[in-house]
Amino acid sequence: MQQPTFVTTERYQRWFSRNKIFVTLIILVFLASITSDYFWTWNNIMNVFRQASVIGMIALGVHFVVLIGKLDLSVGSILVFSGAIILWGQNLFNFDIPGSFLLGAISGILLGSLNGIIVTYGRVPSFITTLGTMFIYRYFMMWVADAGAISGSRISHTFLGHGYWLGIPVVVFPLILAAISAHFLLSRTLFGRYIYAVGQNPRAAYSSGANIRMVTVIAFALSGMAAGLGAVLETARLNSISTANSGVYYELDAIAAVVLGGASLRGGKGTILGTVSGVLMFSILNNYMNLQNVSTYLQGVLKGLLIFLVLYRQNRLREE
Amino acid sequence: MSQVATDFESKNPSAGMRWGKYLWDQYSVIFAFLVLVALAAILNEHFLDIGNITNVLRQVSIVGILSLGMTFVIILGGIDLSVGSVLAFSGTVIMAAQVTYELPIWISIVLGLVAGALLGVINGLVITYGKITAFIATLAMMTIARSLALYYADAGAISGFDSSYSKIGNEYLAGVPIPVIIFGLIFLLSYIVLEKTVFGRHIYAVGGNTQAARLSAISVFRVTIISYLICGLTAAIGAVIETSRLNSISTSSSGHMYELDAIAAVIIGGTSLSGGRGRIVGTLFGVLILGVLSNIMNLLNISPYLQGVVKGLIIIAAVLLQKRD
Repeated sequence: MQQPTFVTTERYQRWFSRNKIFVTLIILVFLASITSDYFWTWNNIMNVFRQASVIGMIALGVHFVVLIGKLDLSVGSILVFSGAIILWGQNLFNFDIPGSFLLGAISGILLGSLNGIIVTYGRVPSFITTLGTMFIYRYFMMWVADAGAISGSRISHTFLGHGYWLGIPVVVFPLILAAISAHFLLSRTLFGRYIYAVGQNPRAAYSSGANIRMVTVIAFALSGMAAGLGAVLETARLNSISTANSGVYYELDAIAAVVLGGASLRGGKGTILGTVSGVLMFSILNNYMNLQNVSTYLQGVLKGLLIFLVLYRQNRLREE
Repeated sequence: MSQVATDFESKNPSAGMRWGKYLWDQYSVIFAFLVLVALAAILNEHFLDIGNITNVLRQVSIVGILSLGMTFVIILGGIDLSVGSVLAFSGTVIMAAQVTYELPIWISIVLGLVAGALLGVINGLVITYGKITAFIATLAMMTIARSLALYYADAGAISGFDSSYSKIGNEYLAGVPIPVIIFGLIFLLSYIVLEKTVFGRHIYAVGGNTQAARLSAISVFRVTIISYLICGLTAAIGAVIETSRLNSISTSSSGHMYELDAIAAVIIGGTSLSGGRGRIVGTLFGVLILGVLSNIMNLLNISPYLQGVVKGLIIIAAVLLQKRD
């Protein structure tokens, strides 16, 4: 009689540890909705999603790099670089929204691939490579723009940042689309299998036919692309990009969201659902504290404590 | 030890080649520094002026001290992203003690150092006991420490009124700026701890192979906590110099991005991010290389933004040129 109970408890524990972020997210939403009248209104929920859009987009890309056990610190700088190119495309060549997305994606892919190539062919650790390119990409644009801001003037671009479609902010649609594609890519394609395989055991992945270098370069390219697409959303919000201040520390926010979502920095573990939950969690936390009139300056404390709380001893179950 | 192995397997076992390889492996960062200094001296006649050299040293002293602490945790196989924020936090404690609570200067300094060490210990506890990766744990500490400082001062600056405090950051002792003397002393101390003590050996052991270290009866817990304490303490010492330079602390911009500069200096100095390997002397020269580079580019009137690009290139190039695993 005792054994089945034991098994069930263990199963619950397992399930809980695997879905800790999801449970925490639900608890957070629950607490927020009973303590604030305004939280559970359509407008506010949409605000949460809107605020999450840029970091969410970046985190989806960083997710791939984290899965193969590497880091990408350059995404904030890629965002600035691509943002400048997008706005130049609009100002000088009259590009509209599709052109902007294309420019963002292409510039992001190029910069991300460069990271990947240095990591694979130069055999430089990803932390160092992307720390270096983080300086290079940002300061290059600061040099070109004299550390100033670049502004656009397209009305359609402003609509992307501020408009609504079917009652939902337009910026949210690219994010949903990107999340679904990333999920599909990871769970339904050979490339997705290879990503997990390279993260878990590169040698075994190599033996089973994965081109590790190619997989790594593509992962970094996807990370860059996501940052480039994030740049479209970021520029749409303000219709400008500040080469000195935009995207600062975004890479750390994105990595924190990915890890909060259950991914391991050692690679091979993590789901898109987890990463999206991680992003939403930070966004809800910020939103809730704004609703409760908690000082903006204290939000960092709660963000840090949330990381401690969710990740506390999480690795223990895996190690044992 | 891996050094012996590669020499043995080397295809060119001639003594000269071996010596050359050995020298390059051990001292490439010093060679790079000497080449840079020679280049700088040729490019600008004012570079070797005593005033300019003093200036370079003074400019690098704060990030230099942070880099020394960072070397400890990186050799341990960890990382500390929180040093910039810890600097702002300790600086806030120091200035608040002086201005709001009107405590004597030496007490305010002690409080600042204790605050930095305490945040370092918390980092260490979260990493060892909470089993959170160093990168993420110190990232969380980075937002917490900065946010507390911002909250206390409403994101503004706190300025002191006691002009004797600004002596630390601005005065000279025997012709050498006091921050440089502090930097030098802490370098010597770090050198002794890392190279000449059992504790230093333990840091290398834990960084090289945690499991083996544990099996050799090294308390990984204690070594980790003390290393992060040292790192937090160096951030607090940096805070003393930073606050006394201007007799004020800006909670929003003091220490901003210092962690990245410190990590860059350690990497350029040849310390491996995977832990267990690296020299504190390398970090010293890594710091000096970054300092000389920005100085000579200033002297040559090159845009400060291009200096950032060059810094990034140097970080990658340094690792490309150094020996690999």
